[in-house]
Amino acid sequence: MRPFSFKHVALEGVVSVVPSSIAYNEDLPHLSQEDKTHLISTTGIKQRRIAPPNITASDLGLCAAKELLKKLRWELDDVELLVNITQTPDYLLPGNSILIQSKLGLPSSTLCLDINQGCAGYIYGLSLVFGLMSTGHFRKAILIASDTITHTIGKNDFSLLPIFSDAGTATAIQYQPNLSDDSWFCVDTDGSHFDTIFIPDGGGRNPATTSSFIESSIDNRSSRSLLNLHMNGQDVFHFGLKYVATQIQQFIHEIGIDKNTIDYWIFHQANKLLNERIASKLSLPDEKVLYSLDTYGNTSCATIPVTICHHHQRFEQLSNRVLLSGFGVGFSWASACLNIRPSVCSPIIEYYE
Amino acid sequence: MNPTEFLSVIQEQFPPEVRESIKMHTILRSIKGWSSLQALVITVTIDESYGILISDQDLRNVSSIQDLYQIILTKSSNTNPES
Repeated sequence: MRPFSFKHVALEGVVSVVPSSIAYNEDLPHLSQEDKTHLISTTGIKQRRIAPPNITASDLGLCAAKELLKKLRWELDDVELLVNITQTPDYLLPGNSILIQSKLGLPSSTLCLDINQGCAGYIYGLSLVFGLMSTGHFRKAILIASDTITHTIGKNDFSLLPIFSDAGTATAIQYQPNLSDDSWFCVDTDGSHFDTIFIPDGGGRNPATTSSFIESSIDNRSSRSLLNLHMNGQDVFHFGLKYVATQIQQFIHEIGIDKNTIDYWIFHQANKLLNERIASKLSLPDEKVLYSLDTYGNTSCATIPVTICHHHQRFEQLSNRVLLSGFGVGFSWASACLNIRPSVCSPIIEYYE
Repeated sequence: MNPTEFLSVIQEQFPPEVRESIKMHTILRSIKGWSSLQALVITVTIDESYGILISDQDLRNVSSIQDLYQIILTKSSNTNPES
């Protein structure tokens, strides 16, 4: 854990877009009423948004970016940097940032970058954009965090189906030479656990073959193929409980921030059980920890901006110091401590073409 | 921590009608309502109560609640309990 900081950069707005289709965990067909009640109370997830097969992560991200530009009244020509985070790109190549640059109508001089990251991705993306912009060479940037992670889950994988959800978000970031606030970040990765959350086939290591499509059973009621998302929930919990709170404690200690001066704590929305335990390890007051799990589930890299938009009233009028923390695939875990000035932050909107 | 207290902590994580049937020699996977989700609940409970983290491998090595208790005792005596 090595904190680093940037000056002269501000977050100006956040827009989050979700598909209109809602799946309710209360309606899960394979569980008894008792099991459904236990699942909902433990995960904290009541409903999820599901993108139909013809709506991709770039569609959701593009919609969010269009709304963001409109609300901020930014000119397209002013956007000099576009960073896209996803693990569900439209194509193996080119990346979604390139597709969105064209569809949004950004100039060819826009620096377009793609980050393959999951639940820690928003912090990775923010740190990269803040770093590039602090140089003064880029004045306006859009950071897109968008995933249709439900498209990767086996239709018979009843351990993952109740958790995951789809969303696309866009965050506006601007160079502000007169702003002296430090924005702090720390990022960690331990790739030795790469196969705790992964999709085994379809990449260069294991190209897709006919056997990749064959489902094998996970337990007595679930199955998945090698092209589906695999997740070892027990190891994810072990990782989350072991590293996340520890990183945050070290982070705020090393950057010299008093925990009590943080207005809101926004964690990746993994599930209620894990998130509440992390908050409890940090002795955080309930009213300062923001959630969106019940309504939007785990939207992979998009959960932090989705949670900001879910609580948009808190960010529209007042300045807030926030502690953001994402953790997941990799393992990767990352935190940020920023001051967010009153910003354009709209309620979550439903996707439109 | 003693076995009685530990058993009580585990029992409390299950519905009231199941609790009395859970003993130290009970096989975890045989408890009514046991699931991968319930395993996560137990993991968080043990972390909360004893500051010990249970890995997937630990759970694979465990059959009864007594086995789980033994693993926690062993981990408690290590210098780095969160390993």
